[in-house]
Amino acid sequence: MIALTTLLAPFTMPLTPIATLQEIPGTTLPLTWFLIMSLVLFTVGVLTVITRRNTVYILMGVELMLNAASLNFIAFSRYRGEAALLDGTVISTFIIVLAAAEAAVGLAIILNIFGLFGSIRPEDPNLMRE
Amino acid sequence: MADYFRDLIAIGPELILCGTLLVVLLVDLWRAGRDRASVWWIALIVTFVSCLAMVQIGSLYHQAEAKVDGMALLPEFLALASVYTLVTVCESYYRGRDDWLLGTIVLIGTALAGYRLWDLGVDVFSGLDQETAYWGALIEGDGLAIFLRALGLFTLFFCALFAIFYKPFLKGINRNGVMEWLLCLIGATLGGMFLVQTTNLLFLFLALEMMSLCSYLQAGMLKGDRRSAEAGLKYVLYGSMASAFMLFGFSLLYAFTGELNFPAIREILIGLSADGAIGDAEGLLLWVAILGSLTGFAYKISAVPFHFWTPDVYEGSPTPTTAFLAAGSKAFSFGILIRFVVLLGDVGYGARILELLAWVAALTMTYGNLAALRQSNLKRLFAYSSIAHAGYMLMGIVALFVITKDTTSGQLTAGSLNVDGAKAVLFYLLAYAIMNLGAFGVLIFLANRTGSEEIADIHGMGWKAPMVGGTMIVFLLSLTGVPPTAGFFGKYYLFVAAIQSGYGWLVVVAGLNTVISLVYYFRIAKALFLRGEEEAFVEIQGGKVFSLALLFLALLTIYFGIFAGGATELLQEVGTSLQSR
Amino acid sequence: MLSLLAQSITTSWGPLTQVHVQMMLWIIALPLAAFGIQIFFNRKLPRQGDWLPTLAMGGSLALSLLLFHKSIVLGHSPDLMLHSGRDIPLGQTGWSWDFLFGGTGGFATEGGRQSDFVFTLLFDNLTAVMLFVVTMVSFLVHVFSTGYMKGEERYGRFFAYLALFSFSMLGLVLSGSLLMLLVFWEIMGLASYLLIGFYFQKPSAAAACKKAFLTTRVGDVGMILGIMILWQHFGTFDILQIFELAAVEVQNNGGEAPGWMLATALLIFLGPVGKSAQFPLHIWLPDAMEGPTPVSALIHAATMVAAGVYLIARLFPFYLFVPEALLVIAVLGSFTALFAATIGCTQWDIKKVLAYSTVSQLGFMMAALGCGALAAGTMHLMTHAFFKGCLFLGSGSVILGMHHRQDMRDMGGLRKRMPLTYLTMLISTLAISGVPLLAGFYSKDAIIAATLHPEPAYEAMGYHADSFLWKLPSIMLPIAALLTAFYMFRLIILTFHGQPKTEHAEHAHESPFNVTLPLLVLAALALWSASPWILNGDWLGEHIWFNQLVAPMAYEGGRLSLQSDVHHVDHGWTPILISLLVAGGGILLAFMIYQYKKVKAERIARAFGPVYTLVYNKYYIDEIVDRFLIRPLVYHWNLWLAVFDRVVLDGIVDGSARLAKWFAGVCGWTDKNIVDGLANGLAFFTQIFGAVARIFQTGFLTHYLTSIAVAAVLGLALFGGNMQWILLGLLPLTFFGFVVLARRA
Repeated sequence: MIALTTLLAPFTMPLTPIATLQEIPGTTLPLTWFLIMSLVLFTVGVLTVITRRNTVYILMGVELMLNAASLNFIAFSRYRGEAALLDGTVISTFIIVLAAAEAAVGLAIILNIFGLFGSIRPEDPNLMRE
Repeated sequence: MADYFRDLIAIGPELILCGTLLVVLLVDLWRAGRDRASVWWIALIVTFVSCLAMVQIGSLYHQAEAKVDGMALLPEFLALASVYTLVTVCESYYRGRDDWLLGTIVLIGTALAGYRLWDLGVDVFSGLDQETAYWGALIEGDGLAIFLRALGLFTLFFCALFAIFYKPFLKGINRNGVMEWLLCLIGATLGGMFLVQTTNLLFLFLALEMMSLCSYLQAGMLKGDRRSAEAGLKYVLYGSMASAFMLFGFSLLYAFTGELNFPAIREILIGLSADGAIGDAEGLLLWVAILGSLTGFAYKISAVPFHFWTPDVYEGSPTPTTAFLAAGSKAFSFGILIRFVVLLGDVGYGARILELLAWVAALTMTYGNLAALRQSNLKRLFAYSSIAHAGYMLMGIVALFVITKDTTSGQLTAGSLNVDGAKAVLFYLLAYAIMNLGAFGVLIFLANRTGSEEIADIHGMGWKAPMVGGTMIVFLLSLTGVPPTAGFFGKYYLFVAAIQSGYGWLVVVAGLNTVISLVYYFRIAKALFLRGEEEAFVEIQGGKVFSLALLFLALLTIYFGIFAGGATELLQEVGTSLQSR
Repeated sequence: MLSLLAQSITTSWGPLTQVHVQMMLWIIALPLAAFGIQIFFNRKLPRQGDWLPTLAMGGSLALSLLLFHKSIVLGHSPDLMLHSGRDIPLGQTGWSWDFLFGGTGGFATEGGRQSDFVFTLLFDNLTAVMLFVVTMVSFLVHVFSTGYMKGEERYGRFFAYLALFSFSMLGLVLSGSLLMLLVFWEIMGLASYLLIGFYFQKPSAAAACKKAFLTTRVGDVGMILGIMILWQHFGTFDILQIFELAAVEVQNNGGEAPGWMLATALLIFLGPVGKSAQFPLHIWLPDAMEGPTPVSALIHAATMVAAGVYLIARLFPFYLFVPEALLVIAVLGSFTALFAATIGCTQWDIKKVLAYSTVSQLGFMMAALGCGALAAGTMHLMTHAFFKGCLFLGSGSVILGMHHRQDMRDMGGLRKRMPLTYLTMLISTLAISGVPLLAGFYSKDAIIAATLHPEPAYEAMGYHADSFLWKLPSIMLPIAALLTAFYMFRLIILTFHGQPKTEHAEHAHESPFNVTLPLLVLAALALWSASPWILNGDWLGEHIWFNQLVAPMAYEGGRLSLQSDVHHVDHGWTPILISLLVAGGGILLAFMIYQYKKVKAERIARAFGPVYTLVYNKYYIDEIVDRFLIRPLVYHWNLWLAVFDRVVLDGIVDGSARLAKWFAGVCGWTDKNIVDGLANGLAFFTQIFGAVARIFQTGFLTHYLTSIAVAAVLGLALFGGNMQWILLGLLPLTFFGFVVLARRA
């Protein structure tokens, strides 16, 4: 039920083009599609993280979320014009690098967990509670 | 060119920390591969060349400006090389413990960085109205940055000091354990120091991630310890998810305004709301953006819906890491939260966000205090206590703006910036860092002696190690907020600021919470000084350096509890400088 | 950290810079740090850490020399004065420790003036001289002690106390506010107590240190009272401000100082009466010889006893407003000089002779100050420190050689056996006797000259020193000088000349190097420290460098000005003749009686008869004090204490016991009904909360992650709504959600 709520949330928003942004003539894809795409990606990522029983998949979900944000940056940098072009693209590059680093760290820790607990299910390491 | 060097100087302390990191790494490398001198030579040459290249390439990039000789930094390089040579030559005669050597290097590096930071701070605080933006407005080296960087260095110093004496680091782990831990500690502090200086979303994210990644590693680094590994796992997965939310929020903020810099974002938002161009759809977008960003910050400061990682991670990590997380990481995160709130708090939905934060603050402090009542593990207790303190500090953040409620429409508007709020939060951060470091130091001492972290096992330790027991009492008093300690003044300023900004109800809640916190803090004190059963405790020896460090922290606590004036004047300046954002 | 504090200076000081302030702070800080380390860790250090305070004093000495050199180079000029504080008419503003103590720390008094509790530094030529003297003597005493105190039980502790004392004396000299001065004065008292009572196992030593403390305390009471009166009237402790305000007061009073100022001056003078052993509070100084000899050298020759003289010198502009007080000082000082000199002629213990000599010389200094000759008094302070220090250390060397015997009747013939000691002590004795070409001559000569013409310095006040009392110093002091020369040479002859009278004297040998080296240094200083420019043919001290250095200051025309050559009176040949006569006479007398035995000493003693007995027994002052003052006091005190004990204290104890019992009853009731109730309630509440919290803090990672998403959604839903209602409505929703999740896991 909760999953459903989170899934449906983005689609409750009006599909009107955002007034402050101007579509650059000559481009074919409307901006809002990018926004929706990234939202969908993000939601999928969230759902992946929440529902998976394998920590490696949880990491994959996190990657999805990060890349959704990256998509946002690139899309809006394109539609903002020349001045903003550099910012959005640069940050996307950095996000890629960072996601990789985070994945490396996460995998190292998961490896460690596996060595000590013998499992990669997120609920198995549960020595500490309350 | 001149800009380039000026910028380099502005991040001088961070560069020194980087240098320390390098030195630690290289020294360890040398000790590991002592039989192969070629490794050492290669490492040295690579370091030297890459540093040189950094300067030269950077200078080439900026060649549009006046030409300054790149060889100006040659003496520094030679100094670095010679220091490195000296260190490696000397320590080949050093037969002591590795961690002491590396830890000492870290301590020295921190002291040097602090010295450099002092010079920078004198410049900034001497009132000269100078340009504080460096690296093309990427870094803002103003009073807030200086203060928090200094606090971060202070935390780094003591965490490294504690790590040198922390028993689990000394036994049973192979040599590399501590070195990597120290590297992560320095890396986390570096990330944090950059975090408080920046007003650019990209750099913010990078710095935050640097701090977080290094913290994830630190938490899980106790080899062979299952709880540490579990702590690391929980931390990394939770943290990545929260950062992803934050990044999404940033991306929407960027989408809305097209700018990555806080001041620019603020301008656009002000302009837009003046034009009335924020309708419903945009409003929702903006709301989601801010909320997402706040998620990341809230997770870092352990505010209530995002606090679940705190008890487990604090309990499982090695205690010096816990100390760093509680004192340093929190300070840095609050720093960036202050910047964020100050810049966006009175535009758009700022008022509503602030009210939300007020509720979050109330929830956080209540939850933290109540949950701490039931704890028997000291580290977990302090984790909940740190959640509660985050709640108090959030109260200060909320007090940054004077909220006025429009009686007819029920609309909230955020008024002027309340400098006292900034002053209160920063002072509380200072006090909190000191007393927390002290408390965790005592915990380490007790854990070293008794091998346990439970309250039940520290009975009577206060009598066996009176210095430690005495300083713990001071820290507990400060955490509760009893005069004449720093904690009392911190809470006092927070209350005053909150009342000034119109949050009387929050103050009442905080007061009640302070009373509740009394209970569990004094339970610890009672346990320390209870004459328990006379078990065969080992005679408490020495720990002189430790006791000295703790004594110093206790004295600082009392000092800031009596002479709060000097520090608050300084922080008042910081607050005023924030006003001209 | 010290550099931080010094950095907060806002203006430059002319030829003096921040560097100098830093140096001053370091001068004080080094001995303090040495004390701190030494007192805790002396056993752990190699050689029990005797090198640590010595090195610290060496450092302070170096810095003092630098400052001293600076002050010599600059001469006396208003630019040299370094002061911290506010609105001083010298045109300087300064720093204070506001930064450290967070705020001005002051409050308004009656005139609406801000009182300053700041700790300020005051530095001028006087300070430079004092710093030089104190650090030099202290350093040499440290070196001496490494040889003399070797093998003592609490060797390391001794050095710690020495360092503590040096710290307090240096702080005293540099202080610019009376409060700060008082603090250091007290610390000095403590250090002196510790040092005199170093051999506390000996009952005589324990009694001596107690006596010293109590006697100086009597003087201190007067001093504190005086300072308090000053504060009450002026609202400040700052010395320069006091001068300014006093000048205003005098002006408002029509050119005459109001009565209370005279009273204050006299009260404050009580402090130096105690500390600098003037009659009648001199009784502690001879007994203080129970302490180790280096202590006697440092404290009771050179420094602590000079603190009183320094205080008067420092407050000299204030005293210029009340010349009657100066008269008192002069008369008392000269009386003390004569009085002690007479006693010194009769003593047999070598250290006692030197002790009375010290009292006598202090009388000289006080008399000089009283007669308005600031330069003379201070110069004598300096030269006295050197030659008396040398004498004491030399006596220590003698005692060492005699295997810890101090009676001069056992000595003799040590000249051949301890040549270095003999040489240095001879030089110092020549100096103290006032033989030309040595330092003591010039300072004594200056004093005698001053007593002949006491007016010059305060003619500005319209005061004419023409009462008969002003003539007294000029009569008493030369006699005292004659006696000084006499008994000092008596000491030399008895100790070093002739034949050894006991075995110990026969087998005496020269002391080790670290004992004799300080002697040499001090002797050299005694020789040359007050030298005039002999190369210019100034044999008789017309243009001593010292006079260029320290000069009286008076407050006129709204600012302090130095009165150097303004009132220089040409004394002519009279003082010099007197000095030469007196010195020569004394020396001749001594030689005749003791060396050449022309007249038998015992015959003279018998001739004086009861007078001799009187003098020999120190005029029975100690006995008088004991009989008429102490014993009745102690008796009555015990009596009243017993009564007080029985009636008041026991009554309180009983009453409080009854009160406690009642209170315990109340407490018990409260405890059972209220507190326990609360505790139970709290426990119940926390259990409820715990149950709730337990649901959330499951320890399952997945739940944590889900909570982020849920919180985000919640936040989303808050858009556009009122916070409270939404929370209320969504709370059960969340709860439900978690229960669901928990079930699923």
